[in-house]
Amino acid sequence: MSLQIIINGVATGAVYALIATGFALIFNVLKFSNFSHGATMMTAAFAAYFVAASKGMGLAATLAAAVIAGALIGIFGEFVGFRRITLNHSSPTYFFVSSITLGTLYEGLITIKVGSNFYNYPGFFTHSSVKLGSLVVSSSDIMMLVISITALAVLAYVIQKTRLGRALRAVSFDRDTAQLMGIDSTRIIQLTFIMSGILAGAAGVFLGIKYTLYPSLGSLVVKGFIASVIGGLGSLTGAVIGAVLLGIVETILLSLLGSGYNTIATFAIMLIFLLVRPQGIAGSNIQEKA
Amino acid sequence: MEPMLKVADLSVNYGHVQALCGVDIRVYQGQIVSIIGANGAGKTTLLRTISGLVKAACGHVEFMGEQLPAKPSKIVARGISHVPEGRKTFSGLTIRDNLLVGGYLFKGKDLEEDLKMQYERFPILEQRKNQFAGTLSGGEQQMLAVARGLMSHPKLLLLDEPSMGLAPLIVNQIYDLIRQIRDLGITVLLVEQNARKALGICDFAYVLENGKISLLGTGEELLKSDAVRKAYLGG
Repeated sequence: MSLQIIINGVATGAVYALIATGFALIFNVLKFSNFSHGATMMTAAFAAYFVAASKGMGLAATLAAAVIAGALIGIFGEFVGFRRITLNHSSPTYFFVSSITLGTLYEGLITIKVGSNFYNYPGFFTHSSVKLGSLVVSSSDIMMLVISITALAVLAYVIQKTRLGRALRAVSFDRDTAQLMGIDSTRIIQLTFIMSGILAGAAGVFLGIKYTLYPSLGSLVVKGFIASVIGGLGSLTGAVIGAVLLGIVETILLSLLGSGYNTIATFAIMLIFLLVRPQGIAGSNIQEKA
Repeated sequence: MEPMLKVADLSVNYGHVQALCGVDIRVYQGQIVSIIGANGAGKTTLLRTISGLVKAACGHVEFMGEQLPAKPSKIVARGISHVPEGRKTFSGLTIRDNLLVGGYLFKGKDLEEDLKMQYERFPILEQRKNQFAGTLSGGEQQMLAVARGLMSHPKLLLLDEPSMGLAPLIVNQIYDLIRQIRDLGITVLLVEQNARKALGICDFAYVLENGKISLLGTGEELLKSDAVRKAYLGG
């Protein structure tokens, strides 16, 4: 039983990790919590449903559509909601209001389109589960795990090893000074929103497969948010660690307590972290030296 | 001879506060030009306007006979590198990454060569290349900031208070470094509160007072001037 639970937990955690890193990317660069991230996931998932999945195209086409939709929403959100206030060095309150407004807008538009109905992605797999010895793992969990790990590995490589990643890190430390190095900060911020949108698109499809599609699906962003807080806001490694921990703990609690208390318990864990270690697991790494 | 950098009638406002008012400055190729002045005189604003971080209300900046583009990232590409006040090294990036970010406009082999050159000039940076920049001492951070600034192959280097907060011995090292940079053929515009040092090293200097140029002359002339001695050299 225990290995089974851990496998399920890691698979859930991998999806949370996509949410949390997409969220943390923006926090890293602009130092604000992007509350439109959840609605971006949901909108991209619905876009993929209408463009690809409902037309009988397979998983790959659905994911591609969601990722493209997420990137486009990211570009739109950055330009409409955040560019001016970024250039003006506005206070975080503006970012807060702007991101909540964008999120509400996306959710409202989708609600107009679909009502409050639930939608289901068609079954993408011929065999819904795979037997590995005594373990039974659902095919969709394996797919999510593989794709999430690949996406996170690519992200880590881009950020740690490439020219773009160095520029992104420089901009998140100090936007003005980064510009003095020849980096076009606005362009880098735009690219960050694209990357975040891509992660949101993939996460949205995964959530849609795991649960169902509905206009307030985006509220599951809170899992990514909890994972970010546990891991340390703004730290990408922390976000991944926090997400996997959260996934495992949730799965264990689900089997012990049932689904009602489980939700409460995860919030309790976040509150305990905020009380005991507000900087999160990886927090010490991102504190700036004065 | 045409000046390399020509700042003409430059005014900058922060809201209703006028930070710079009709400033004229010329910097000729191969020179070290110093700008001295008290806290809040507008020295940093002047450098930030040249490098594009601050927009001027009126006046213009010409570099090598051409108007500068608006974006800071484009200005760097023209050959002006700005080492900002307080070093502003990227504290959570390694020293190597700091230097590579400095060479953002270059790629591949050229970038590796430039990195090697800076390591040769600053062996301490090579020894600590994988440490976070935040772990360096103030003097080392200043060296890193200068090395990072050199990575973009500047024709003109803007240095904002490189001696700030450093021990006298380290300040001397930094000033030796500034001379070496000039000897490499890089023109230097130096902003300082440390008037004695800045006037000692420069070919020409300006005194900035409340956003206006109040005095100008060679370093020697200003060192001898009564006004400068009273206000900036302690009598």
